[in-house]
Amino acid sequence: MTERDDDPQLRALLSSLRDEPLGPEDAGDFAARLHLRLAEAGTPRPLGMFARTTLWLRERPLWLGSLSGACTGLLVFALASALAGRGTPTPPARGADRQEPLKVLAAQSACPAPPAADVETSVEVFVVPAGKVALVQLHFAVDRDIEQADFSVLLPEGLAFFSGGDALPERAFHWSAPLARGDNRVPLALIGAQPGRHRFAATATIGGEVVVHEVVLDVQGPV
Amino acid sequence: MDQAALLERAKQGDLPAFEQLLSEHVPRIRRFARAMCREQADADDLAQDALIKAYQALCSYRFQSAFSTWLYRVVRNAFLDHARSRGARERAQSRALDSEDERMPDAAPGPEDALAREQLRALVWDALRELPLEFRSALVLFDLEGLSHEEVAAVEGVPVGTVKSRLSRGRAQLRAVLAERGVLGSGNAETGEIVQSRSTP
Repeated sequence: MTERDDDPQLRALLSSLRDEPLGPEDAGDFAARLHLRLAEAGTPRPLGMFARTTLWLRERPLWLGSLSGACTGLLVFALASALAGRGTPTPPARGADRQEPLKVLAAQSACPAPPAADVETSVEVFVVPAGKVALVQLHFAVDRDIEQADFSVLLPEGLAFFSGGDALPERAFHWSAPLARGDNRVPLALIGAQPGRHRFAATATIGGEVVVHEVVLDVQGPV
Repeated sequence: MDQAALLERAKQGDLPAFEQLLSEHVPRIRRFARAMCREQADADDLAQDALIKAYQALCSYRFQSAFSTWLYRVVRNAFLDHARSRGARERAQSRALDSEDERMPDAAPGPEDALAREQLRALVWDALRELPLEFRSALVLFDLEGLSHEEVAAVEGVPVGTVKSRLSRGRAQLRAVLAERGVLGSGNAETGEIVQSRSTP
């Protein structure tokens, strides 16, 4: 017996709902009103670069798998922050009206290979073959849902954002997204266009606090 | 013109192309909305809101699934957002039926009678609207609209096993509500298993 045969009495009742007239508005009225509302809504919204990148990555799981296996092109940096103490209101410090700052609970790299060298303690260096796409994953761990976090990445000459199969001319990338309690991963695809060490910063503004994480991509080999 | 060509034109803002893509889905989406709103006019407003969202988000559709699956997912999410909103809950409460309305009349005419059928359908819709959203959505897509388990799973973004679980628990709960109102007998073994907790994927 298939599930569609279960409880025929109940299923007959549910099926009868399909026979119901759809109300005083007939299909023509509904279509006409929908047409007007769609026309008012304008054309479909073009995808932002973040959405394009996410879709592009989602469509290529095998490609990403081999990239991950090769390790060389895969770059991950972790940026964990938390809004400790901001879940419940607390009295402000005497004479101060600023909000309690974010506390960084952890900041760890999930790169499969250790950084090639440290430029400074807070900067991670990753080797990337020239002309290969590197997947950067931003990790944000927060202790509660955040309605809107603002992100910003500014690339130097020599690095480019990569989306839809192409290197993009834009050098700056700003976007906003909600963060769910726990770990949030934001993918970013970059390509090393010129050999050399290229430093860039990813900035996140969460609840009025700014977290900056610097990354150095060491682009090696011929383009 | 095939669906891919229509989609490309619709993404460029060709409204008639989008309307052509929608045409076969509109009746289902209007019924789906009915599971969220008691009044057909409210349901139609909700269906239109959801379809506008789908139009605006059309560029995110890249053939990663069937267009219908993507469309139902966008629409379902819009419906669930609406149903979860505070205002929607308050409206639903304010429109709760009184007990007289919820009972099938003892002297109901035969099944051919249009009025009796309309009353019966209204009772079933009301009972459906009392189910948790996840159960309601699965029941409407599977039992009412005839989607497969796999299609419902794709729309809901959950495994097939979760869909089957939601269907089973949703039917049990629906049967219990309908039995309580005298619409169905209580002969089914599942009748007493009223599930109050929300489903977990």
